[in-house]
Amino acid sequence: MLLGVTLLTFVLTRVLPGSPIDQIAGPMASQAQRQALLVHYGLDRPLWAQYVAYLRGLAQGDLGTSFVTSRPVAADLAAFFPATMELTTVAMLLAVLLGVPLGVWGAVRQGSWVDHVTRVLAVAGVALPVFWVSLVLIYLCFYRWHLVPPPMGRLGALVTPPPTVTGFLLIDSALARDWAALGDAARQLILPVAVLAFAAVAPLARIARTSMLDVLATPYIRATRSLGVPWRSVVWTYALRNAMLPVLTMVAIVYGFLLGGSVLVETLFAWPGMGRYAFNAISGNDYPAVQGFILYATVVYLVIFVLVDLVSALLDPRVQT
Amino acid sequence: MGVTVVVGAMRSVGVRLAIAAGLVLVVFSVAPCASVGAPVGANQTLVVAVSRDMQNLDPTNASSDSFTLETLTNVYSWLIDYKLVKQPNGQTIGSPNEFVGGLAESFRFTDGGHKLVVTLRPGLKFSNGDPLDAAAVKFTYDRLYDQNATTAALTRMAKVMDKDSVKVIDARTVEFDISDPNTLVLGNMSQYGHAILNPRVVRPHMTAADPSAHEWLKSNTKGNETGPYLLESWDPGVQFTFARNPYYWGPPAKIARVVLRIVPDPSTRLALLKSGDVDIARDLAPLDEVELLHDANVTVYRFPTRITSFLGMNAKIAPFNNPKVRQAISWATPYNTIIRNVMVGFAQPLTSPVPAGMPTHTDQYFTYKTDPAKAKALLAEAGYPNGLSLTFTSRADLAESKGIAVWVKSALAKAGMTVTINEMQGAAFTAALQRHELAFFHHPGWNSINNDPFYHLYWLLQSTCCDYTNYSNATINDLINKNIISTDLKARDAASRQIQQIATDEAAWVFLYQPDLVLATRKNIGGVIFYPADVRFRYYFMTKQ
Repeated sequence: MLLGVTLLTFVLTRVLPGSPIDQIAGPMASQAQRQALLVHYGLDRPLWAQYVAYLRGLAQGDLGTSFVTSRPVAADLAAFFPATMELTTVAMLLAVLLGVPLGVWGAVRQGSWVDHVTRVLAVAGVALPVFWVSLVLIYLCFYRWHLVPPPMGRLGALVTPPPTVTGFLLIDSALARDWAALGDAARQLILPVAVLAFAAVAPLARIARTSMLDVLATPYIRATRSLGVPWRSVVWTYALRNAMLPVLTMVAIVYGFLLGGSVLVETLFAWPGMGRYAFNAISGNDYPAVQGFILYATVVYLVIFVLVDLVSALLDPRVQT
Repeated sequence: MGVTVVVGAMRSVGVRLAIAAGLVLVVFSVAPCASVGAPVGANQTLVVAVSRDMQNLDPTNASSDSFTLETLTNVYSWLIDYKLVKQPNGQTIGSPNEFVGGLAESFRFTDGGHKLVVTLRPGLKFSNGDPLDAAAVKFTYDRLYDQNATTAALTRMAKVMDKDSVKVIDARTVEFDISDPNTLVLGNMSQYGHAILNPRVVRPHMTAADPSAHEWLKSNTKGNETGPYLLESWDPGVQFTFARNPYYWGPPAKIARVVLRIVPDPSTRLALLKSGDVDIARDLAPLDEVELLHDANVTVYRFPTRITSFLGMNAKIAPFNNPKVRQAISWATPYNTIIRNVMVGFAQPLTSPVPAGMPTHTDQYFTYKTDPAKAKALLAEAGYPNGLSLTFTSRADLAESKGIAVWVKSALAKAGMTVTINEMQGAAFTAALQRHELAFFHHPGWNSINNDPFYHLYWLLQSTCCDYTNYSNATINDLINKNIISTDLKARDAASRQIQQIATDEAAWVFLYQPDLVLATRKNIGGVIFYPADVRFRYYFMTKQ
């Protein structure tokens, strides 16, 4: 599968209009200089030879060197990944903690005010564009009310970053006992996390509600209830566990999607993450960077779905067979 | 209602981000100005919100994006530099036509202009403390010619032909042989490409595969800096910072540190400037800049540039190979509307291939104005009495390019020309532009770093790289060839005027505008000095009260 992905992205990047040489060489570059650059980057070779060279590098863990940043793509991905991972994970945790209980509650108390609020939230989360929510939140929470620090990245411009251990600022600053940096990093996370969580709560709450309703309507739940098992116990012990399987799949899909980086949120909050990296790579025709990013995204999805399969098996032993 | 108009107009342009920027503009224009002020103790640090990262920092083969070139200009020094002069209006600028020593204590032409003798300042040092002497200059120019990239081509253009033309006379004296005396030498040398490099630092990175150490210099300046600042850190995609260079040859920079934070969204940069969280916000939307003119906490600097922005009409592609068609389009173009509505007044009309501010510029041959009837008549003369259908290419990633496309389409319709707009993404547009394949397009701006009309005309009307419209005229070619390497100023002046007349009459391009360079800073920031030649800002002069 990964091989297929590498071939597909390799071909796709090459058919994009434009050439990386236009971005690398200045406007005054002569034909000879352009040719020299083509040779320098190995782009003068036939496509199959370039692909073989790329695969050979991959086998040794070498994703190639970015044309634009002239650093190894693997190093670039390693630098940009923690920013997206940290943002997405915090947002995802928040979304699960909010979305799943809301959905379950809505299903159990169908038609109650909680149910209505959940549905309105779910619709709003899907309907309101992320960039609009971001702009409104920046305007109100930063510009008008000064509740959050300026939206200029993971740390304020005058805060010294903690020494890099994991790349996750929350962890690194805690390890370094740099509470000022920890506080700043946490405050910087508030708005972008709120935006992403708001968008992620909607599908989670919806699927949790639907799934829970389905389970509650099954014969075995009715049987359990008729046997006199307390309602609370029916919901929490019998129904919830079964209802969680589709929710888990949805968590995986949303999480995987977010880990690809959100270009709009990362752009508006100056967040140096994967989305912006990929966007810049594509606009600059930076072949190795685009290929590296897509490979990364594929691996992220694979890992997440393997994890989901494992957790599903724990929740529902029937899956194992 | 104001909101509806703005959003409606933006939607017709069709960019979601533009709508977003518009929304923020509307919201901010109703908002009272809030100011939390910069954190206490930050006075010696300047925080700048920039729109994008730097790329390739090899001075002699750098990428041409603005922040790469700005960094090179702030961390490197070269032998000869632009002289600071006070203009009649009291403003000090780095004159594009007068030169002083940079790393050079003095320089003089000898041998009837065949030699340029440069004497270095005493005791020069690189940022790591290594001495900078004539050997370093020689090393720099040897590498430059061996690499044979853009700067080498520009140096050869000024007739300093090869390695052997650069000679070490003694530890502080270097001589440049000039095969044909010309007026281009100083202007072509006053730029980052001629940054003197530290042989002790660069040589270890020269390998058989990369004999010019290009790969190392692309992302490193450490130990090489000779400018007022050194590149203290570069966190790709996040920020880069400058710190004072302790070994700088001149008085130290007034501001100790400059933090350039990458904030890709223009409305976020605007919010940061208005709230005082950054001292300077770069590349704002023109409409936001207009709005900032009324902000008591912000200064908006406007500098007229010599950047030429035009509509290209490919002279090798029908119907643009017919000068009458090009003239018809020139008579149909809505010049004032574009400057007023698209550039929101931050531009002056371009009236000749040689921009205002460049020696020999004249607007006396420019007779075009927006006159659809005259355009129609010319079109009929050209053999298109029933009008024409054209495709106009604009850049999808440039707001002004998209705006111009819309206005051109509606104005040309009045003259019987139906225009279809074809939007291209930046990379694809650049590729097609470089191959001279675009038929009818907007060129957002060309800046000639050397303020010399023949340097400028050569690149845009004759060179194989940059004559993007394939326009060619035998008389013009002859005049450029005769005068580009010449010190006869009178003959150059007459020839330049003749070229301007021909190119304007034949409508080589639709001459659109010269955009202003705009910089928005907090009120307490001073020392903003404009360099019209390279249009780069020097943080060296800036102050913060």
